[in-house]
This record gives sequence, C-alpha cells and structure tokens, in this order.
Amino acid sequence: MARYIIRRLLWFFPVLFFVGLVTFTIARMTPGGPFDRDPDRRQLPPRTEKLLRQRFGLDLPLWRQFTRYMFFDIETDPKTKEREIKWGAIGGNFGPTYASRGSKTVQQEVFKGSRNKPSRFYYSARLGVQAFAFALIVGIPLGVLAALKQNTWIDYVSLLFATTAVALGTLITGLFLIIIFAVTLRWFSVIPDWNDPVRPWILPTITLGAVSMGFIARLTRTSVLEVKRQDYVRTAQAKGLGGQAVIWRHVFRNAMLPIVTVMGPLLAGLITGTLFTELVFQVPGVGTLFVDAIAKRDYSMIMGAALLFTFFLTFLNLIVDIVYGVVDPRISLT
Amino acid sequence: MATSAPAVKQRAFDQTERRQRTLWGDAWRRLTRNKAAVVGLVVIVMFVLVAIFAPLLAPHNPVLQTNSNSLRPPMWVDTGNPRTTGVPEHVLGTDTLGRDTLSKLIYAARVSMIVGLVPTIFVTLVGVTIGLISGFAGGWVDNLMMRSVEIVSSFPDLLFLITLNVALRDTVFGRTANGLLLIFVALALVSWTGMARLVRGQVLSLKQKEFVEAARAVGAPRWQIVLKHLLPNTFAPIIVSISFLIPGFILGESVLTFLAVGMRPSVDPTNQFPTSWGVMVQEGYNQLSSGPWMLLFPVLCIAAVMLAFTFIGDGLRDALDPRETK
Amino acid sequence: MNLLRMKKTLAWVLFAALLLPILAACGGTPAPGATGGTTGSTAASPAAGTTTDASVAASETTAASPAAEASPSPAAATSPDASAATGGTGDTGTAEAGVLRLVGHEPENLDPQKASFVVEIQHIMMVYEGLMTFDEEGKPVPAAAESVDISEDGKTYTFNIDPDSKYSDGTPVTAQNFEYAWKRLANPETAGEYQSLPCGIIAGYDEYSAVACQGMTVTETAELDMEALEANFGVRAIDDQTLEIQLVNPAPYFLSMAALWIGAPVREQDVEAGEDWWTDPENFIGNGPFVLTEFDPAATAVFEPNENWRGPELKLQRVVYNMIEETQVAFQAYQAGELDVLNIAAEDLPAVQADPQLSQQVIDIPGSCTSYIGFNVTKAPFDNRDVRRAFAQAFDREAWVRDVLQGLGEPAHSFIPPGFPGFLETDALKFDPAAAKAALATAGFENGQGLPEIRATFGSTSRNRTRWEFIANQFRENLGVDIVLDPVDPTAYTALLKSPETLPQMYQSGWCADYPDPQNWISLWRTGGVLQARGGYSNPQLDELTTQADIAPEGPERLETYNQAHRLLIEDAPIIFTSHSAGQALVKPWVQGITEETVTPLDYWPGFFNLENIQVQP
Repeated sequence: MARYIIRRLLWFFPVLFFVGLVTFTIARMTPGGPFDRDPDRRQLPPRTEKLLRQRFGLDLPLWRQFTRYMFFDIETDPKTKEREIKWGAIGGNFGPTYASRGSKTVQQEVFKGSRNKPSRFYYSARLGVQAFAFALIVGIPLGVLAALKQNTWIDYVSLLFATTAVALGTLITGLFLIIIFAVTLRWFSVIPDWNDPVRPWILPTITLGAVSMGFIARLTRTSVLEVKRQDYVRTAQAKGLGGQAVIWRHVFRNAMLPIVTVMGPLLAGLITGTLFTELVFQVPGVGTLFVDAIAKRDYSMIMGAALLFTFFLTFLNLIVDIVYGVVDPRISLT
Repeated sequence: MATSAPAVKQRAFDQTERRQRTLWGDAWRRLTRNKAAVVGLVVIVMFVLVAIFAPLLAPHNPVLQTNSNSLRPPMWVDTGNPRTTGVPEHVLGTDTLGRDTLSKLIYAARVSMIVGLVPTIFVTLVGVTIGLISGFAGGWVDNLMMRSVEIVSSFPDLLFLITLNVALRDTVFGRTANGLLLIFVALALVSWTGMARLVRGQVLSLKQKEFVEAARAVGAPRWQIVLKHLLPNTFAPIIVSISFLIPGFILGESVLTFLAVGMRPSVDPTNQFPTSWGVMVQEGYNQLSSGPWMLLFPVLCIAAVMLAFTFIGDGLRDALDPRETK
Repeated sequence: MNLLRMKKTLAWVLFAALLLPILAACGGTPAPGATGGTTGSTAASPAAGTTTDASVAASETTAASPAAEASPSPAAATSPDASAATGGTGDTGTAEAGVLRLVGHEPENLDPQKASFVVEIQHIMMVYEGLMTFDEEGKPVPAAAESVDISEDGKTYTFNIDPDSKYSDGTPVTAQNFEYAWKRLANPETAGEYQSLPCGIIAGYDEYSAVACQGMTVTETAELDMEALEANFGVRAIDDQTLEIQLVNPAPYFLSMAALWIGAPVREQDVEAGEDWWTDPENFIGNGPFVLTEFDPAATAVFEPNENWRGPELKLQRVVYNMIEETQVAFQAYQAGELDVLNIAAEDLPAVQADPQLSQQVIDIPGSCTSYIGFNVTKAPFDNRDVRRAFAQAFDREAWVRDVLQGLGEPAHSFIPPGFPGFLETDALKFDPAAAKAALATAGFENGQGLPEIRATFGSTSRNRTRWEFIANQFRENLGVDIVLDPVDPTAYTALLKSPETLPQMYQSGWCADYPDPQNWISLWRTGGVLQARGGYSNPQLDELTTQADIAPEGPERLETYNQAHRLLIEDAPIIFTSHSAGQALVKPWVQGITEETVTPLDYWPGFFNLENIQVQP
C-alpha cells in the first residue's frame, strides 16, 4: 500500500506539468491579452502596453516564459551583473497578477487575507467543505429513504427537489433563496456580515450543495435499489437471519462505491471556488477571482488556478482510490 | 447475482438465450407497465414532435420583432393597463424586443432537445468505454487513463472553449447548423471524465466478484466478460448520471453561447435554430423583475425534460434488470 | 424539525417563488412598458451589462461600471428587480443614523495614477482630494488649492495650496506632494491608462512621458536624460504653498483636469511601502474628506470622516461600500433595506415603475455618455459616406430608447450629451427609412444589392446580444440589408478594436466625459486622436478646426469652432449616434442630500460632489 501511495504521489508531477503545459498553450493561443480591457475605457497607448509586457517578461520566448513560470529562471542583474535564480511555481511563486498591474502575486491574492480578514481561499474552501458535507449528510439518508420507500411521496419529493435545483441552476436558486429567506422572511440579511460565524454561511451552503445533494440522493437511491434486489440480500431477508444487518452491510459496501467516486472531483470542484454562489451571496472567495482571470487573460492567475485545482483533484482522487479498498476489500489497485 | 460459480454459468447461458428471444420484448412490456416511465416517454415524444414541427406549431415567427409590443405578460394577466395586459396573440407574453415567448419556446425546443441528447450520447459512449477499459485492465493502463482524465478535467475549459471558438467559428465546421455542431463537440470534449471515473469505480469492484471470476475460469473471452457481465451491472449509476447530464447540457449550452461558442443571434426569419431554452433562461434572468415569464417558461421546460428522463431512466433500469420478474 | 418535511416545504416554496412574479403581475399597477419611461439612463456605458454566466459574468461584473472616462453612475453595475420580490419592498430595513450604505465593486488597483475604473475612482476620491474638485454644476472649483491664478497668456497656472489642507495623519499637504503626484503620473514606469491624458497639454510632459505621448520604445527611453527632462517638467513646487503648472498652450479645460483623480497627492513614503501599498489602509493616507478604515477588497470598504480634513464637518459618520457584483442581488438588498442608494438598470426599470413604493424613491441622474454604433471607415462598404449616412438614417432611435433602454436615455443625433458645453440640438440624419434607402441607392447599392457581407462583431453578453438583435432588425426592416451578427468573447473583442485592420465593419461603443469641455469629445476625432485612430475616419477640416479651438481662449468663439467641427462629424457619419445616457437611482427616504438637484453627470456615485451635505436619518 505504501509503495502504491508513493508511486501515485510521484505521478503528481507529470500530471501537474501537463496541466500547466496545456493551460499555458491554450491561454497564449486565446486572442486578447492581460492589458486588454473594456473597449469603452481609455486604452493604454501601444508603446506603454509594450513596456508593461516587457516588465512582466511577456516578451520572452514562449518556452522560456513557461519554464520561468513552472520552474525557475536565471536573471542577471543589469547593474551588478550578478546571476540570481528566480524560482517559479515549484518554488511556491505563482507570478504577479496582471489585473493589479503586478501589485499582488497570485499566492498573495489567493492565500493571504487582508488585516484581520481570512484569505479568499479560506472562504471558498470552507464554503466548499460545508456544501460537500451538506450534500452527503442530507443526500445519502434521503437517497436511502427514497429507495426503501420507492415510489412514495418521499421518493418524489427528493426527486422534485433535485429537479428544481438542477433546472434553475445555482445562480437562480441562490437568488430565489435570497428573495424568500432574506427579503421576505428576513431570517438572513442579503449583505453578509462575515463576522458572524454561522448566519452568512447557511444559504450559500445550501445553494452550492443543492445540485450535488440531488445527484448523491439519486445515486444512493439507485444503488440501494440495486443492492436490495441482489440474490444474497433476498436470501438473507428470506431466511430472516439478522435481515437488517445483512442489508446494511451489503448496501453500504455496494452503494458507497459510486458515491465515493463522485466525491473526489466534487470536493475538488467545490473548494476551489464556485462562481455563481459566490456572486449571489457576495462570498469573497476564489471562484470569482479564477473566472475573472480567464476573462481578463490574467495568465499567472489562470495558471495558478489550474495548478491548484489539479493538485486537489489528483490528491482527492488518490484518497478515493484508497477508500475503494476500505469500502470493498476485494478491490486491489496495485 | 448468484453466489456460486456454476449457478452463474448457468444463468449466463440462460440469459444469452433469453435475451435473444425475449429480453427486449420483456423490457419493453415492463417499461410500458411503469406509469411514470410512460408519462416520461410521452413528454419526450411530445417535445420531439414540437421540435420537428415547430414551424407549423409556432403562432409567430420567433425572430419577428414588433415595435411597442415589448414585455407583454402572458395572456391571462390583466393589469388594467392596455400596454401591460396580456393579449391572446401572445399566449405566453413577449420579450424585450416584442418577440413571442411561446414561439421562441417552441423553436428553442429544437436546439435544446438536440443539445441535451447528442453530447450526452457522446459522453456516455466515450466515458463508459474508457471507464470499462481502465477499470478492467487495471495496472498501468488504468493509471495512464486516469491521469489523462485528471489532466482533461483540470485545465480551464472556459478558456479552451473560447480558443476553440475563435479558431473554428469561421470554418464550415463552426457554421454547421448555426454553430450547433461546435457546441456538441465543445460540451462533449470537456464532460466525459466524470462518467469515465464512475464506470471505472464500478468495474473495479465488479471484476472481483465471483461471477466474473467464474466467467474467467470457464475461459470466456475478455470482451464477453466486459460486455455481458460488467457493463450491464454499471447501468444504474450511468442512468442517474445521464438524467443530470441532459439538463446540465441544456443550461450549459447557454453558458457557451455567452462565451460566443455556438449559436449566433439572428434576425433572419428563415433561421431554423434561432434560440434555445438556455439562452431564454439567461434573457429571463436579466429581465427577472420586469418580465418573470421570460424566465419561468423555459425553466419549466427544462425541468419537465429532466423529470421525464429521470422517470424513463428509472423505468428502463427496472425493465432491463434481468432479475426483475414481476 | 423534520428534515424531510422541511425539504418538501422548501420545494414548494421554491416553486411558488417562480409563480409569484406572475401572480404579482396580475394584480399589478399601471405600468411601464414601451411607452412608459421618460426618464432615463441606461447606465453609463453601453458595454456594461448584467451578469449572467461564467466568464462573461466575470468580465461584465468587473467592468461593471465601465468606466471609461469617469462615467456618472456605476451604472449598470447596480440594478434592481422588482416584482419578483413580491415580498418586502417596504422600507423596514435597519438603517443606521449617519451611515450611508452603497454598492461597491472590487477594485483592481487603487493607485490614483494607475486607476481608470469608476469603481476604483470612487474609492480614491473619498480619501484623496485634488487641487480642484467639481461643484454641483460640474464646474471646477478650488479644493486642496485655496485659489488659483492664471497668467494672462493662459499658460501658467499658479495654485495656492490651502495651508489648512492636511493628510489624515495630520501632516500638512504641500506643493511638493502635488509635484510628486503629477510626475509620478507622467513617469513611464507608472504606465497607467490615463498617463496620456495630459500629453500635449502640460509643458515638458511629452518629453518626460515619452512612451505614452511620443510612442518611444523602452530602449529609446533608456538613452534619454531623465533628470534633465524632470527639471523641465512643467509642474513645479515654488515653495510649500505654491504650485506652478506650465502649459504648452492655453487650455481652458485644464482646471477640470486638475480636479481628476490622476493628480491625487499620494505621498512618496506611502508609495515606497511596496507595489501593493494601496492594499493596506495604513498606507492609503490621503487629504480627502474620508479615511479608509476597513478594507476587504472583495467584501467591504468602510470610510470614516477625516478629522484633519480642511472642509466643513461631515454629517455622515460612515460610508460603507458593499461589494455586490450581481445586479439582481443588489436590488434585493435595496429592497430589504440594506442599501441606501442604488442605480437602476434599464432591464429593471419597468418593475420599479410598477411598484408603488419604489417608484416614489426614484431620482433622475443626468448622464455623461453617448452610445454609438461605429463603422470601420477604412473598409468597404463603410468607406462610402453615403452608405454610412444611409445606415444612420435607417436606425430608429426612438424605438431603441423606448424598447431596448426602457426609456433610460435620450435619442441621440449628435456626439456631446445634453447639459455639456458643446451640445448641439440637431435632427440631422434622423430616422427616415425613405431617405435612407435613397442614400443607399445614391451610393450605388440600390436595395442593398451589391453590398459586401457586413459583419457586426461584439462582445458576447446577454445584453449585447439583445441589443444587436434589435439593431440588425432595424437595418433589415428599414434598409433591406442583412448584417451578420458575430459574437466573440469580450476580451477577444477588445483585442479586435486595437487597429483598423482587425476592427469589425460595425461595432457598438460609447464615450463618457472625463470633464465638461468639447475638447474631451470633438478633439478625439482629430487625426491621431483616440477615436479617430480606432475607426479610421479622418477629415482635414475637422483637424484644423479642433486644433484651433483647443488653444483658443474660453468663449463663444471657441465653442462655435467646436460646433463647426461637430457638424462635420455629424454629416460625415463615421458613427451612428444612438443615445445619450441618462440614469435613475433609487434613494431611500431617510437619505438627505442626494436629490435631483445635487447629482451631477460627473458623480462617482449619486451625490458624490455634495458629500458634506449628505445625511442619513432613519
């Protein structure tokens, strides 16, 4: 097992490298650059833009920009002629954000909070984990209940809920929750007060978790139904031999597999920020930042976001593969 | 499935024979006996017919703009003000530019039904194939495939789609069916990874089960094991996935439209694919305060399609289950 | 509580929420509609939009208030939605005395010499004060300078710095601070969007800011003697209290320029704190009415009065910007009583008008922008003046304002918006399908035959899409010409506008005033000017007239010269003027000092230039 984990950990590097390479290529192929903004704004004079590009090393050959970003670059000080190694992503430096004209680096923007305020990543990660927990804690029991009471009102309500959330989409679901609970019922405020540890988190958690919850509930339901029909469960039940226990053991083992599978990418996606929920509930997270970066062609931020997501995804997929072995000991991955 | 090898073997033989004779017939009979599934089928068939016969059904041309007729509510709304009272010509009201909501909805069914279904088929085929191979082969094949899945699901797809569009929008490919083809490809290319991992996870567990061991022991060829023993047992989660993929694509299409991938807006009355439900949802969201009907009706359509497919999926799963004998 | 029961309730509530608006509409009030709106605004810039989807959302929200040149209202940024919120539209919110709560947007950069977005400027100008500021009429009046002397030749401006003017930490504001700020603006290293604004105006500026003004390359500038250039720079502190600014030519609008954020007196010691100096309120020390006390760029900015401010005591105790990027949400927040002022977007105007309570809280805001449809004059068929005139006459501006802008705006037939010096009342090239068809025939394209494919490229947003569908329909119906609509990603679109080679045949854009002077509008069309360079339209007569007027002394003659140039522009139709912006804002009844009398077209938010009189008393 240890060898397997080590091998998988080593695989992180090629995966991160390729994601970096693909992202870099696509980003540079996309028309428009980091200094192109709303055309109705006053634009930078062409030479000034060139000066900025030069300042950020965007005039270097592409391969060098890439290695400079991912690994390191050797820079010669123009005055002292001393050579200095500047580390890139592998040294934890994810480059300047072009949107702020290099005022901040990507790692600062993402991981460093302002005075007394948590970082953007904290907001996204916390919201993501909560939504994930909500999806599991509500989704799984709901799915089990729906399966045990197939074609009863519980079954249909869980379906209706999932359908509503999916058909509305996160953006509109969130807005409706605000209209109902904040504007009409006044249980919450529309503008969050982040000093409050609980209140501002409730609606965004539900909104963000709603679709996943629906999916997990449906997946659980169908898996439980599947297991319920297995011969050995029927046999066990027929024999009356600790029927319940047998069901639960088998149900758990078999029904958990697909859920465990979807959990990896799901959690990775949730904690690295989600645009619409953050927009509607004004969560100062990384989701808006990352999507903005794409619109603004903020190359460093785009790369940073892709690498961060890749890291979480590969890590969580590794956990998922290990959990497979726990849920179903017969699965061997080596 | 059975717990002992001989029984499995026996059953496998039974199934092969039965399948040839009556499995599909049985399944169909079981499916039609399931009320919910029948309702779902009827809804889908209805939408498909609406899509096909849109020009005959639509009361107006969906791109026809009528001056001073904007934001008219549905016909049953009476505000007392002739300007903002519904009129029978526009059963479901009009949008900002005075276009008829019902006609748009009817034409939009074309794009949305296709966009919901075609990429789903692609995603299912690719995802299931890769998942089956990866899970069954295991070892380095599995590792390589899953790492590729990680790479594909990690790079920024929005950016990829923008680039794809810029590169292809003026080619024949990008113009086919008002850009719809490009939408299919775009949606499919970035969405198959989840399905692949789901199927692979199932296969990892299934291939250790006794009946598969047994099939192997009696020397069944590998393709047979994969197709006859593994694939049918992964149907359940696949069907759930599909029922979420379809509405996801219908809404996702509108996101793509606003990345400029896909359908171009048009005022050409001969345009066969003028709008989609996803685009209508977007327009409706912008007008939420002043024209909520613009949001309500496309959302209801998407919800109806999703429910219909869920019911069909549930029914299909039950119907295809060889153990089900009721 | 029974979880399942709750879920069920929730599901029904959600479903009901969908239906409610319809029901609400049933019992609705008079209403809006096509003929309704007379007021108007669509927000400052045509580009701004409501947020809808992923990347677009991104670009639109950040660009929320577009920008450009000091547009009046963060416009589209903040908007509403009404009948959907059938619930509480009542004013039962929890307003707090002395606290003004506004919508803000996450700024990218608060460095005054680099900023160009309204969302950034509205932070900066709370904290800093320039030499001048604007009064309620939009006229420049002394601010940090207590008075200004202008030499007889109109080329030397001597600003006498108010000895009471202090930074919020108590240190006095000196002429040296201003010298530093203006030099910093000019320094090629700063590289801000507005660096080029004083080019050709301040003496020695062009030589110093060689990259932006003269288009020098970086290598070329390396050989310049920067110290010598600095010594010849036209902004000079004579002593602590006296700042002298030399101009190249007389420029009556220079006082307005001195009121802009670009000359905000940032201090060297603050800027030296590092590239990200402005992110920490400790370094963001200004001489303006307020102090930034709490700053979480993506969530809130809190301002409290600057006790050392030279001006009268402020009535407000706090101003809070809540960063809300989603216009629909901002409107909900307003209705819940969590915001005090909110700009209305065109899409939501009908709903506001239909609401008995909200419609009482609306004030009109004069606009400072003109929207237009531009042509690429270097490419067929729009290199042909008659074709351009035909298109200009085929566009129904009344319908545009009525249906698309919901009345927020005024049909435009000229470039400068009403209320600004240089506004021309004209109906030249007004909507006239018959004349349009005739003009097209004169150009040799009877009924559109023989025209090459005309392609209109635009940034793909929901709002732009609807607008272009309307525009295309106009040309189709009134001229018989089909244009191809070609949406692209908004940033890719921006890249296309950079040179006439890639500029689309037709595009939609707008211009907003930086300061109230025709020079800020008409001279942009002089060969080499910002707008001339974009579309390629060039007229030697216009060049001559504007060159003349730019340096002429203020007076009716100067204005007339601009008017002549303006008429040339109108008749040559390098762009179709579509509408002048006009805005509307919702203001809670407990807010005093933000009224139709106190808002100006140059406001960074409604009532900005009346700050000291604003009060909140619930």
